[in-house]
Amino acid sequence: MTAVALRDPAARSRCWGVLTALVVLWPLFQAAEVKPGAIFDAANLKVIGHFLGGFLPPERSPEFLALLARATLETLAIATAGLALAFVLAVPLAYAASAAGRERPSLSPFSRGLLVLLRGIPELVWALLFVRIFGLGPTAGVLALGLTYGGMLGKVYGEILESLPAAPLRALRLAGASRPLALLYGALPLAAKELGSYTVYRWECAIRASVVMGFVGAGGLGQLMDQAMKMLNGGEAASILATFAVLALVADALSAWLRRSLDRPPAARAWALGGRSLGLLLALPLAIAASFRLLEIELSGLLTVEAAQSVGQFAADFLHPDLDPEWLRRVARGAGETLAISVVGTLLAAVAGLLLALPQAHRMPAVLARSRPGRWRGRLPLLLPSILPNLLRSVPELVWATLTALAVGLGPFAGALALALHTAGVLGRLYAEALANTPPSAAQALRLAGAGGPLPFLYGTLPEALPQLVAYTLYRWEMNIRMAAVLGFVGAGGLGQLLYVELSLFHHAQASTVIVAMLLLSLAVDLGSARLRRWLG
Amino acid sequence: MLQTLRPRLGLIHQAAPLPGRQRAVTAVLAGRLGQWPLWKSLASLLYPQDLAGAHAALARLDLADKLFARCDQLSGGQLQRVGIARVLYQQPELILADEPVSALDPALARQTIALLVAEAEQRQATLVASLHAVDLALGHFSRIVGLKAGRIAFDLPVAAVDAALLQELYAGETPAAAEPLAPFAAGRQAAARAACC
Repeated sequence: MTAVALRDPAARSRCWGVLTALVVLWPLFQAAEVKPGAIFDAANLKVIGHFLGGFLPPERSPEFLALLARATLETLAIATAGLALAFVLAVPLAYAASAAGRERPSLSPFSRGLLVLLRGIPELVWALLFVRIFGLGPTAGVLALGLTYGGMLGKVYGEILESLPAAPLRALRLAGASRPLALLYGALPLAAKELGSYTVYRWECAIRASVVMGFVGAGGLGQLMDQAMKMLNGGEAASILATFAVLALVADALSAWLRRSLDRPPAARAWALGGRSLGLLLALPLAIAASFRLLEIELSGLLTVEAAQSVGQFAADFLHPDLDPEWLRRVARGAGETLAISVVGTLLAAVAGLLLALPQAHRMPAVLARSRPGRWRGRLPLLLPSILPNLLRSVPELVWATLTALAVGLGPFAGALALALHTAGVLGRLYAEALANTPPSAAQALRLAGAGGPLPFLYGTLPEALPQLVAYTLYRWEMNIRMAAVLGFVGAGGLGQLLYVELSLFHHAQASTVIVAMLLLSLAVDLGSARLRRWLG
Repeated sequence: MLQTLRPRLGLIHQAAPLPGRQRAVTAVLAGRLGQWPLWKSLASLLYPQDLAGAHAALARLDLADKLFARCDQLSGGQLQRVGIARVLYQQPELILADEPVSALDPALARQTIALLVAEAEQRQATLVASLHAVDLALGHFSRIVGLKAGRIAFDLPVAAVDAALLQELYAGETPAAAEPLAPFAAGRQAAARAACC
């Protein structure tokens, strides 16, 4: 064998990758004003300690509980009514924007552009705008959810239809069926489960979203929480937080049940709908009607001349964004801060999520093996690692931000921490699933060859699971940039703070600039994330 | 206790348990994770700590040019040989090989078995392999164990195994019934040091 000088050809590019990451991340960490010391600052510790001390006992007076129940119902109703609106908006838009079942692909720039605009602006910003137009109350929340989620549903519906095999559709079109009929017969049977499952998932998200709408005055649990936080009433905050957690868990379970029932094969009968489906189809409009009723929203009231005028006036103001260089500079700085919050928050969450996922992934088989009924006491310690992520993610980012702002003071670091806490819960669960789905043989073989500690995981499991983990992280980053943009509403810096201040002062031209910046930033992050994914894949 | 024995025990799996996205060099070096200090194992994830060793192990299996290839770019036979290279690099005292050449063509299979036997002889290690190919077992190993329906049919030096024995071993067995168990376990005891567990 010839003695060749061996060198790892990948070393140079790895080195450059690490250097680039450092050069890019360093200013972002600076901009996010990361100062871990602030968490342990004596004065801050005293404030948060006093506040958390007030958590016990949680507020349980009958008047407050009645208020809480009412707010919970309102939150559920906002989510349901908002999603109904979104559905009505999404179906025609998806039909117009999707290429499925078309003779030749069309770009449909109008419907696609509208979808981008609708979902590009965070629902909280829509809510803030609608509160200005329609006044305080749930109407703003429902409309905001309807528009944003309409955009999301429309886009995903369209993509689901496009991802189906084209042959059945083409065959129907060639046999003379019109496009709507071809879609009903050739696409819907294949896509029904995915469409249904995504809609149910979005409803679950809508509940979480409607919780926070209250922070901008759109009713529900958020409004209650906002008041409790402003008065530093720990007892009330504890009760509301507990309600969030229960609501999130119940919605999670209900959505899992609904999605499971989509899996059941249909019975052999002529009628397409069985008793269960008919029951659901009846219950759905009833629930939607009840939601509108509870919120006292008169849809006809939104279609009056006055409403149209104020919307028109508002829109006209927004068509003339303030492009003064001085203002643009401030917006750019705000955008940088928002980007920094999203990146730092997501990175911290990725680290914490991995730490949360490891014990779960390890114990998953043990939990399954032991899951005999009546053995709760034995299972509890095994289930604990999965309870923590669920608790973390059941509290919305905006609520975390009110807490972290107390802990480290107002500013971008509070926003990054809030994002990190919520996202750690989400990623912890997603990571655990990804790790559990990785074939165990490689790590097992290393363990049999004597590798101990973290080594079987690092050498056997991680290489296989990494693309999945990275994909989940980037996907959350895309969501977090939108969230980071609105965290400023509670004083966590960035574009949100600018928008909140300008809108309170009725500076619509300046607010318009900020909203455009938010849109551009989230588009840029989408592109960047897609490029990163390709480069890493 | 068991943990201290494991680095001395090398397993060759029928389907090499290597992560698809790992490079061959890392997959081979992973053979010594049980022997290296922790810092070295961790450092090796950033830069391969024994390029020459991994290169030499792969070269013995004609895979030197695949040193930096990712495992999911290799064919089934190449992957199986990377798995063998890892065990060569591990340098265990006992090698247990389960169908080590099932994915290789006959010529390569013969060459690879010869390599394993030579390695065991040279390092005074014990090699136990289960094989379906009778000629490979008879051609390279010193001791043959015939397995039938989960039981040991015979356990003899290779010289004592004749056509009649083999006929009896396979008699009345439909191919399907023979499938789950390899009908042969061939062993070579190169040293007096027996396997200890």
